[in-house]
Amino acid sequence: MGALFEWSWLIIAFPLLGFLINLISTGQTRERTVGVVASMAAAASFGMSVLVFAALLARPPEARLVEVSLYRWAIVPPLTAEVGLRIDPLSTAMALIVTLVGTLIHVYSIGYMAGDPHIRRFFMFLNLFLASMLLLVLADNFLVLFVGWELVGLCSYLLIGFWFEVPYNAWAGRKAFIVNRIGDFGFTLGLLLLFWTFGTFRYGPIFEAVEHRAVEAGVVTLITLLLFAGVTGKSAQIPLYVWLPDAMAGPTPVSALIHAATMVTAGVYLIARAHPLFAMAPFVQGVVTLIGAVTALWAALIAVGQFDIKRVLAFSTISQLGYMVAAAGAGAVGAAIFHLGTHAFFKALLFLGAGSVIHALEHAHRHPGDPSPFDPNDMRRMGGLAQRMPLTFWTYGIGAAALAGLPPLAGFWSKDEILISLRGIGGWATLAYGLLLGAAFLTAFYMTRQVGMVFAGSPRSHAAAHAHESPAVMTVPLGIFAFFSVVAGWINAPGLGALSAWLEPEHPPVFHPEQALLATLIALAGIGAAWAIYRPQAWPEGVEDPLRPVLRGFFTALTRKLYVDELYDFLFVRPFEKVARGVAEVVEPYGIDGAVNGLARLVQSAAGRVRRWSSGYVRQYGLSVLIGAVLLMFYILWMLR
Amino acid sequence: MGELIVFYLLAGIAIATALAMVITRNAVHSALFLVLNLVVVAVFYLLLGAPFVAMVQIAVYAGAVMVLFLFVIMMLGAERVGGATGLRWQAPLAGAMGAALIGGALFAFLQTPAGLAPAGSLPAPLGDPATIGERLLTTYVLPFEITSILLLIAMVGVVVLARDSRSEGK
Amino acid sequence: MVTLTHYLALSAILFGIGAVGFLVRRNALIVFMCVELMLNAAGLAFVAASRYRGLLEGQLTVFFVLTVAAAEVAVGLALMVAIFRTKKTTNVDELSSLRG
Repeated sequence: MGALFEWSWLIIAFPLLGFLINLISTGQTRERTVGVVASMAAAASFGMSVLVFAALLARPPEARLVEVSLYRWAIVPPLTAEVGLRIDPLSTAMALIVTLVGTLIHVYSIGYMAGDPHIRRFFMFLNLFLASMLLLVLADNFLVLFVGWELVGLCSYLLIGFWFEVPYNAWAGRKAFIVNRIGDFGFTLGLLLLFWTFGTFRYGPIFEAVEHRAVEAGVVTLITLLLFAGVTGKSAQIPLYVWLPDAMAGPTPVSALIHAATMVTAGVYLIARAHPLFAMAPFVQGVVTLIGAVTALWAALIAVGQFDIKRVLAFSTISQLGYMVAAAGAGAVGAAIFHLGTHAFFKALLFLGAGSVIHALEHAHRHPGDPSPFDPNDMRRMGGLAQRMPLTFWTYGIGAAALAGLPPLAGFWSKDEILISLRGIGGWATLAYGLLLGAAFLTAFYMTRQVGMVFAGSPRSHAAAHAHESPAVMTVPLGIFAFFSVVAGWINAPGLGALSAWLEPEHPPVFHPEQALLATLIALAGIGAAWAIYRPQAWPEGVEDPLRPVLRGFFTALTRKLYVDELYDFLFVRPFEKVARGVAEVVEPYGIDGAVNGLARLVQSAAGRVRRWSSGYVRQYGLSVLIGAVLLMFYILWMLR
Repeated sequence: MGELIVFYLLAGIAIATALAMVITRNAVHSALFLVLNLVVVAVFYLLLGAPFVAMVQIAVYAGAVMVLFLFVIMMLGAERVGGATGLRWQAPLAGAMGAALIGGALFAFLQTPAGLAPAGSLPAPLGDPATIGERLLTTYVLPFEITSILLLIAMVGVVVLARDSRSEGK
Repeated sequence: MVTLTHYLALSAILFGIGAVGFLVRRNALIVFMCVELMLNAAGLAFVAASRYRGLLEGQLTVFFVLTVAAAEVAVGLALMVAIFRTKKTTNVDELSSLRG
């Protein structure tokens, strides 16, 4: 059985191989082949993950940790950087989620991206994205994790800006990259401090040292705080969440991938991975939990005021990530990963459903040859799609219900577990608990609003009236995701508790009927409130959004994302631009150029003096030689005296 | 004692001719003084038991080389060079340095006891042509051959350099 | 008794005179002759050392120096001729076109 683990690097190698094949294949390759190669690479990776998982499962719980050393990367004493994989319950669970969701999204992309002239580039990046995320997940030390972390950031940049012909898309890619960079700056500092403190990057020795209290708590607090800075960037938490809504600029499968599997979950995974460190820093745990909870509520609030079908989902992701981060911060790693898994399924489902809608609207709009500009993402132009796209509607409805937390769908179980884990800790956790309950209400509200706007009532545009159901290559993954969105929660349902038994055998899931009842009631209340406002009968013709008259100015603020972008623009971007301009106009010409030119002038004047020595008179040169010889002679005499 | 008188006599001539060579205005005189100096040094070589080197010195140096010098001087008409020089400090500084050099060297030689030859224990002279010829063609055959190549290169070089390029086309 | 020191001292004096002459004279041919004088002074030191040490290598060195000096003189004088042809002078102070 051990031999299999030696081959576990194949999980990463398969998508990388797919990337390489598509990289070197000629431009004449049929686009279908490109997609199939990429999808097969992802599927092979999933298959390998299943094998490794099965092999690990066959072991007794206490022996479920295999470290595979691949090669020595660099030996610069005292640093020995090794590339190794850590196969343990957490990493295999993540690898399974990532590869399964990733594979389905690959397959879906074959249909969605059909006809795109740059489909080869798209699938290359998709494969690379997957490989990077798997490297991040399977790494056995923080350094390799960081490599994966940065590669994921790079791929997200490349894919968000995939349609870079549109300036906005390229801008969105840059924004994602730069905002992440801010977080990564903290992360890098954290890594340096980590190495400085522990003398190694490997998880094993670090966690052992932490367990034996071999380091000061203060240092660990600082380290975890810095690591969390990286998490806020990658997992889109306050204050660095602003890149995620704009990440919608990428093709929809990319959004699904980023939101469900390969990007934003990295931060949650990092907290889970470094859990022993966080456990030693209660203060940071409090900060993490509170920021997660506040993010959950904040993003859910903004989601209510959005009209872009994908933007609603984006804020929903931020909100759900808040749940995970809050749980992971409170030490409930199992609950966080559980929610990460279930969320991956229903959020991928929702994105792919949204993609299906957008795809249909675009085709319906283009079909009659209407050249007028049309935003296929705008929910105000939809409506009544339930009859025209039944498969998409039903699967989307399941995903929305799962997200809203209706029993017995996946989201209900995982959200419940997070809420329970926050109870009984007291203090800040109680506050977080309250915030998350509020977020749960808003989640149900905005999902109902979205479903109502998109699918219910009558079509509000020509395109919506003539939309057709998407092809099977797109609807089949929808069905599979819908299936998982229903059943994924059961693996950790009370009484079964398979995931918890796998991740943390000492913490079986608990179930409080009154908690479940409360959560269900809140979800139903959210749905009911939304339905009361958005049901077709209550929605007068020509009104943009029935909520606007109710909330008035606040609704406008919500549609403008509570002016956070404007605030950042005012606080950071503009001053920074001013500083940059100042540097360019003052420091550069006078300071740097001045220094360089001054140095040149100095050399020139020095050379002007020295060149007189080179008089061209042979006799003078000879005299110099003689003077040197005499000096040398006297020096030697003095030495020998 | 006689030896010492001969030495000082010859040394006096050598120094005098050297000085005269440097001081005299006419280049032809200079060359002739140098010939004298070279001959005196050749006599020293003989006294030092190096007859072969002494003969080479007279034949090659005092003979061939100096004839070449005189030939060139006369061909170029370079007996005297006129014109003032811009190097004002050159002569005094050069004199001072030369004096320092000689002084330092003398000081060093007179200080060092090893420089004083062991009285009466001189080995037999060994500079006869047969020994030198044998040594040149056995132990030092490589430098010897390299020297011959050097002379060949010098010869070719001289031909190339001295050729009048203006008369080439004619 | 003539010792090695006598010869070395004489050699140093001749060398010094040659060096000063090299630096003082402006006629390129005399400058050249001064170089020969210096070489010769060195040769004297070598032969004297050979005698007082009982080693043949000193004389052999002088032999090689002689050949190299001969080659050097030939090339040097050829250069003089070539230079004179273009510059019409043998004054070394007028040959300073390599001034920096």
